[in-house]
Amino acid sequence: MAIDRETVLHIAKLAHIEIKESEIEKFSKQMGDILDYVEQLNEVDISEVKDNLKSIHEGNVRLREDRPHKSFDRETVLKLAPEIEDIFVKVPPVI
Amino acid sequence: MSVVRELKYKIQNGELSIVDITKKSIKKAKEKSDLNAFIALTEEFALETAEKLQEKVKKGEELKLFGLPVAVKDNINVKGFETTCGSNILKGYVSPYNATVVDKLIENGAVIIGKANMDEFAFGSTNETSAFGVVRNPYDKERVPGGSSGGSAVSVAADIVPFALGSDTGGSIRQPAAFCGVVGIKPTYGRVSRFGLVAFGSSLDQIGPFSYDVCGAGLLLEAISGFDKNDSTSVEKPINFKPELRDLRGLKVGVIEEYAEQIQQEDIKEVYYKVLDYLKASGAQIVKLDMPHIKYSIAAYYIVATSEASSNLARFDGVRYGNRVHSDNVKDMYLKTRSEGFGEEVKRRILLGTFALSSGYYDAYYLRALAVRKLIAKDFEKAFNQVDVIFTPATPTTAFKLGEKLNNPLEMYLSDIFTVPVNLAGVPALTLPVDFSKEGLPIGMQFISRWFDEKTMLDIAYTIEDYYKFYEKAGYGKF
Repeated sequence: MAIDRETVLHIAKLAHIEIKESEIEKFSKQMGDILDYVEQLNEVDISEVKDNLKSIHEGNVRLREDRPHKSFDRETVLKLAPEIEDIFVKVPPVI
Repeated sequence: MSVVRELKYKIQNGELSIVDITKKSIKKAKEKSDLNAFIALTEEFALETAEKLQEKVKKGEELKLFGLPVAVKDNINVKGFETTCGSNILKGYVSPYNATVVDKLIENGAVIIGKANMDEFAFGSTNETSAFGVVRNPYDKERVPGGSSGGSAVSVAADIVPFALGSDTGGSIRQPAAFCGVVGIKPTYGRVSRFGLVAFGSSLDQIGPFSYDVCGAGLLLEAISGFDKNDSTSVEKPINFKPELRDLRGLKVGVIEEYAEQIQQEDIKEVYYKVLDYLKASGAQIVKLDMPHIKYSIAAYYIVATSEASSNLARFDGVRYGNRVHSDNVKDMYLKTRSEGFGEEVKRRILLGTFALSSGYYDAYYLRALAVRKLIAKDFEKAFNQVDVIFTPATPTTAFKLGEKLNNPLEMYLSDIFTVPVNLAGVPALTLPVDFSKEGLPIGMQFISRWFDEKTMLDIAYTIEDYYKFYEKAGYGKF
């Protein structure tokens, strides 16, 4: 499948990634090549597969008990943030 | 005798102390810094741990990992140290907690000496996409070590450490193990806790061991396995990974015929058939497997893996941790932080995954790839009704030259052809180095076992290893 310039820019916008003008052509060609290769999945008869969204793994996912327990203290978590103010993580204006 | 056990005896009889080995290991890491295997050394922490462990041993306490040094891939959290994932976007992130596997390393008496270099976010098969520079193959410094756990593989191959942890999403332990001539294991999905591992493809990722030999890899796997309440996909299963020599008579070994045709180097073909002949001569029965969907593995994988990756990497936005590129509005801050922080391969995979999950393409790409994945897993299920183990080469070629695949992502993806199906199905597999190519590069073979039957592939690989003794040719364990 050919990936045109508009598609690359649209996808990049969805992913919050800026693509430089000089890179658009390269990304659209490389993505196009990879998607061409992936096209072969269309040959496969998947009519028998009913539960594609169900995990293939066995794991007996156990939900933990709904009980509060100790987590990191506030100071530890705030120390990780690039910018803080008082007890808050600070970000630039949202609107 | 296993190189790792030999080291254990030397510690036991007082020939070597844990502190000596740790110091030697750090010294070697510094001397071999041109290989760029480490992003950071944890020297002080290592020496402190070594001294503590030495005391324990003096008191007669037994350590499962004998006080030996270990390298940890830099996408696994070690408390108090940076976790970079080989990326600029995590610059400054110091982990406030240990991954479960790291707690287990410490509990079992290993000495963490450093954080190993890797492809950025584990996206790559050459270790060239790291923001901290390429890692070089110790057998030929103009060649790649493989990836994404390239630094981990090199740290063992260059005899800096007997143990290393990597992660394997599509071959990221087994392919560099083959390129560098060490043993590497991708455990069954769910065998090892992923808590504290930075997620790439959550349904594919597993942490696994590297070591000089099968015995060492089994030992390290045993130390890190087990159910963890912090990883709901981990499972409680019996753990015994001490390999034993096995009588190969009557063993059913499955081969995939199409795979032999995909080997791109004569010398790899020779090694493949040589091992097959050995298996036959030892009384094993070779069974040709019919796995009709396996040829679609790479196509299915690059949809599933990039979809999961694009979703997992959405968390890197410059808000709560890592690097932030400042701007006067929040959307622009996200955009700049991500655009400057991520390298090219990461962007490519995020874009691919975002595309496959986007409205209008979700059914055609993502859901279809998941369906094909199910069929591939079925192929394995059927195969294991007929055979005890599946035998394949680990890679179609030996290590590439630096830069050879960097500008052709599809070609790089195709080099994972023998390893990727294993992650899609969730089964365990092991790379065993067997011999050298004409150019003196290691050649590795792969053994694949049933779900949660790591013991079978370990025993068989151990038996084959006992015959070819690659670790002797490589001269590992000089401390």
